[in-house]
Amino acid sequence: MKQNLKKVNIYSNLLNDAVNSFDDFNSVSIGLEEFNSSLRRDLSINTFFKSKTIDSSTKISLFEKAVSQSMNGILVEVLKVVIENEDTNLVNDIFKSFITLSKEKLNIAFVDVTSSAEINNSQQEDITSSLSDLINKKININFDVDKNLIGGLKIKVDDTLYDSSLQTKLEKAKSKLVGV
Amino acid sequence: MDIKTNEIGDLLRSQIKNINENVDVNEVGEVLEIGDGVARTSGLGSVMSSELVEFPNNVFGMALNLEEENVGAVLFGDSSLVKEGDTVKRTGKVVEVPVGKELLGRVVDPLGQPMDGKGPVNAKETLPIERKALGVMQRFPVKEPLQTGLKSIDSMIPIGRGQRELIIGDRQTGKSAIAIDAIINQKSTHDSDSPVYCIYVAVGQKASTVAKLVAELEANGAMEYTTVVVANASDPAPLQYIAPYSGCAMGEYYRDNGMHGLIVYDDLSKQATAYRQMSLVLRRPPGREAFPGDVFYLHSRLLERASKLSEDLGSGSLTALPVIETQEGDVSAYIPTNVISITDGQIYLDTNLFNGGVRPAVDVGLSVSRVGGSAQIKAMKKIAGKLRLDLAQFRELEAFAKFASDLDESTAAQITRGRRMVEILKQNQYVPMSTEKQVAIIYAASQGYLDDIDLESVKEFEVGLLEHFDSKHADCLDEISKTGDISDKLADKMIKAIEEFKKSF
Repeated sequence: MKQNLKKVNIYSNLLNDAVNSFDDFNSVSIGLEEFNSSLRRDLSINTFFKSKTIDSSTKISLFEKAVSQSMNGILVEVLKVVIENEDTNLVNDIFKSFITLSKEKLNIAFVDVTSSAEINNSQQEDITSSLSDLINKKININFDVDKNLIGGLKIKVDDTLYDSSLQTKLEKAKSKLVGV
Repeated sequence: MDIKTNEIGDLLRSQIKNINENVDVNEVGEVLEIGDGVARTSGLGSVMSSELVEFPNNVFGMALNLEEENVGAVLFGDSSLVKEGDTVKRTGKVVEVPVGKELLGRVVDPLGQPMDGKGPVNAKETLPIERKALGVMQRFPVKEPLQTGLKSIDSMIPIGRGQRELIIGDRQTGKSAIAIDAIINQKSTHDSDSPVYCIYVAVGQKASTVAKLVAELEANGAMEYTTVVVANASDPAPLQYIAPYSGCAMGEYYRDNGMHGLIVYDDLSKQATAYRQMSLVLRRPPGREAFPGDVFYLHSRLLERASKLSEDLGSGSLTALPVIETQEGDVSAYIPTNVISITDGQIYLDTNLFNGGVRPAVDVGLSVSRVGGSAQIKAMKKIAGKLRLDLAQFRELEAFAKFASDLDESTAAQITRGRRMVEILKQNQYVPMSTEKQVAIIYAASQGYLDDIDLESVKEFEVGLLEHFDSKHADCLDEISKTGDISDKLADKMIKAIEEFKKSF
């Protein structure tokens, strides 16, 4: 357990040291998240990387072929070591640890914006730049649509939720009226 | 509404500027896993220990384990309504309950929500359920008696206002009955200038038992000054865990406002079991009997809140009667020894005595009140001084007499006196007796007026004598009640009255 924690720290610190810009961070985090989700989602990929019968050089060469075009170069090199050491079961923890470290280092906030209707690209850009100016951080933003909100927005900045949705206001009004 | 792109930024800015007025701002987290009434959540970085957190579907919980990576919270509601990935919000408040006289006559859950269908509790004040116990300088020694109305307790194991007296015994030995009688007996205090308000906390009991108890309190007119806090056996463990603290907060209201409170925790063994369940699910390391390491603190911090306040703070008091159930009379188990060491004495109830018809089945040898005589009126102190010793000697001699065929005169006399003493200390449930009447009958017995009465007729003699006092010598009872003492003159009057009755018996 402790050994795994040490390994996770080594991998995530290495990635964190190599990432020096917001763009690098974005491409590494996206790549790592995709690799992590494909490992968790697809049993055959997971089995392939965990297999004892397939040697690590085969795994690495196939991995390189599959991702060399799309994945960030730094990440590819780190993941090659992960695969070589048969540590693919630690990818989820490496991802979480890397995000925590880089958020601090690069002053990044994770923002989730939920609206009741679709927001177009220019509106999204405007919201992103406005929020970035307001909280004075680079932001990793994610837009979502939830019709149940009825109107208004829900903006989650890291652990803080700003809720101006009509749904919440109506629920509050309801609980006041019912006295619950 | 059609919004132009270039307006969005300005709109957002102006909205966020007035964010506190128009927008709900909450620190949130995400449920990582849920099960057995416990949720592990990510986020909630600034959450306080014991803070109330809100899950979807109106389910509330309490943050307990604040760890580096996540927060463990116990749920007070149905955990099936919460699922992985749900958002959990901070409320910024520690768990609070409504307090005040508005709660009298009500049956509430440990969060102060009504359970009796009598509408909302319109309490004006709330108090956090976890409060620090008072310090040394804020307290005053326990001096005023709290009458239970039970002869065997008020005479030999007196309880004072502000005391913590444990009621301990096996199942079905009449533990709750003593507590209920004590509550019913407080009715008489409501005609005086220092009424005692009562709180009965039922933890892990059957709903039917609690319903019966509430009906009994109502029938005896005791619900008018009583609040019942219920966490049934079917309620989640966290509710059973917080119930005594909630009840205590309600009792502290009376104490802190110069009034007197009596709180019964029935029972703390079940609360400890609920806490063990919660702690194991929260993955806290188990210790002796699988209880967590802080199970002593669980009870000590609760019972330390019962106290008698100094005159500067209004002289209020909160008396606690915790109940502990033992298994096969084993008082040396973990929880009983813990609670015995925290309280100011214990009333030990014995199964053999109970089955032998001695009810309340108080074992005089094992029971003790560490506050002792300072919580007794002078009259009771005078007549009951030797009672305890006499009874203890009687028990010893009685055992010895079983093997001896002929006894010397003094031993036989002691056994005769002892048997009659035991007989007059027997008392039916729900019929607490006023102190002056207790004094009268114990005085008669201790002076030897019952020695030549048949054992079977002792009860009849007691009833008759008390009626005789009521009808013809009420002034004697009044004097005891007013002065709290038996002067030589009064003693003579009482002896005359007893002899007078005995002639006609």
